[in-house]
Amino acid sequence: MTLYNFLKLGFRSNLSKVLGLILLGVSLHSCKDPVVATPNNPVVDEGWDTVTNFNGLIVPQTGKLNFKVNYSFDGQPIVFNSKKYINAANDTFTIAEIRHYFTNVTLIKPNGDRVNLQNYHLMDASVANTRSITIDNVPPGNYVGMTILLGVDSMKNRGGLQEGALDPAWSMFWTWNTGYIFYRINGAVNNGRSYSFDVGGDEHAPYIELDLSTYKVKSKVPSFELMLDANEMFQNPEVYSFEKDGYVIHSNTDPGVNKMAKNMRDMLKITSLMP
Amino acid sequence: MKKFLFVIIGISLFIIACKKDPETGDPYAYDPTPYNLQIPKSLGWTSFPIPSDNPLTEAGVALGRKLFNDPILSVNNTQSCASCHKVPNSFTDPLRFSIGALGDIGERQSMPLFNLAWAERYNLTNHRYFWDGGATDLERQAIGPILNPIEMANPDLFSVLARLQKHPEYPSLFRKAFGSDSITSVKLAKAIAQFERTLISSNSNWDKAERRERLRTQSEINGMIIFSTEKGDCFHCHGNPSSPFFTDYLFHNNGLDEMPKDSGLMRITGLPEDFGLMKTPSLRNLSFTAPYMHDGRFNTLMEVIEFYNSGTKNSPTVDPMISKSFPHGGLNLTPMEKNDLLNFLLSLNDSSFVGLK
Repeated sequence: MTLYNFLKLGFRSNLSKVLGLILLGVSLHSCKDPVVATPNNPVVDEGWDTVTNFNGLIVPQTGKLNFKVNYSFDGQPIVFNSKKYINAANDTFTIAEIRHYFTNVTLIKPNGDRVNLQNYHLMDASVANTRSITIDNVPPGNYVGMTILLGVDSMKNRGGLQEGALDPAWSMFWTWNTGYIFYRINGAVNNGRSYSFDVGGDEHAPYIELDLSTYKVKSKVPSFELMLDANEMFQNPEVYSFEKDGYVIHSNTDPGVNKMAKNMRDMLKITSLMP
Repeated sequence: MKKFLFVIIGISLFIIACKKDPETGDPYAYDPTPYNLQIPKSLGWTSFPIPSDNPLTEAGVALGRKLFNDPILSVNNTQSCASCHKVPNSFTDPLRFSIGALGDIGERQSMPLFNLAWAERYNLTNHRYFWDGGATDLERQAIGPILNPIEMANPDLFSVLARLQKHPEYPSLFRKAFGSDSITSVKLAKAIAQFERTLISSNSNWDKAERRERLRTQSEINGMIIFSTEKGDCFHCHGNPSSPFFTDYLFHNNGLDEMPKDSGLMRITGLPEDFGLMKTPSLRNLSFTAPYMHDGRFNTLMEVIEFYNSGTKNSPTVDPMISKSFPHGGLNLTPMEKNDLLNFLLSLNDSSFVGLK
């Protein structure tokens, strides 16, 4: 398996990568109409204009959500390929590629009801226009929380093939296994080796939970700026060590994948929410 | 004057070109005519699920067949699916390990292809295709060999799609099958999966006997009894006596090794109890599909029978249907019984499926 994956990496040509990234930029969009989690939930029930003490995000009428994701390592913007980074386990490495799914953005109401916007986007840290997305048809409501899946939900992960962001041609798909690569990071290690982490598997789906109740924003088109901190893959709750836990994760059953997926749950944070 | 002549000729050509096929229209126009799938009517031949987004059509199956046989899918135009899934071999490879487009040697025996889609009816897990269950459905399976570095060895799907898009005929064939010239990985996989769903082998001597078109020999009957009773106990994995598929479409460790070299299903599930489990192959068409087992270690059916009779090995994940014969030192079949079992197996050959008839 190791040889297989080594070959697989080695064969990924630059030409196709460039082509892929261009296409990636052009159209990675497959939004569907949002579905309200509870069918008997009235769409407009919270009288936001009178609720002055509400903490969170108010979308007064059917709107849109803008997202822009910035990539950092320990709080500093990532410089790809050239800059060396050190994690909590003292591994020293560069970062060549970060690519991940950004799907199932779900807004949470004060009563716990969830509104899944059913978006499917693939983001590449080094391709600017994949990092800024807009999700349409956001139902009006008061929202106190949000979850984002840095991966693919089990329904789409388990079977069939999809176009758009989920097209297997984006090379975020395990052709010899069952399912999508949710999140990919790779690069060179200080001592001349390389590392390559492909996180996937339904049981490891990195659902990120974000608190909106610290904001007071009312907007039809609110804009989120998010920070994805790659260092968090290697710490919190457990330190991930390349040496101890592995330089390679290439399947949903590789030993280190569980630890890394758990660490990922705090890697995405809101840096700003603007009306 | 000369110029004028050219214009006349040009206009005439234009008119002729425009008049092409005024009655029949575009031969490549989108054509969703359903494919007439022939599933036998006799006992046990149930239907199988077809994905709602990939119904079988005449044009889709024809496109899938063309793609299956076209080396354009390999990185250097040397290999098609059919290179390692040969019709005369019931869509497998007589080589123990197939040789890939770049000369690399595979690690498992090529699997025969027929009656595949019933896996999606009888196997309710996510693990259905490949020896180790690494694909959920035929659409996903079809992508695997195209990108496998020791098989068709393409670095990515974009390069494959670009080759197909530049081809003089494929864009039109995709339009005919799916309504648009634009060739995507999903359509590519769908076409191949459609073709694979039509590969139905159902015309062996055993089938003819089921249809009352011939009588079984006494030896076949004896062999069938060994197969379908505790005597041989083949039927637990290879299908109960009334099943025409001769596989349960599931995964078992059949006791080939005390320490399996290939982790099989565990590679996909990560579960220790799946260590060394491989997909049960169908027993149809065995005369065409040698060598046998996931690693092609046996060249003859008698070797296989002798293995189950006296050669099975214990290991933590060995199937209970195998280990229950350990206290008795194996199945203890007599030479006559082995011969009867062989004759029963040979009655499952479907010559018409491999183009012999």
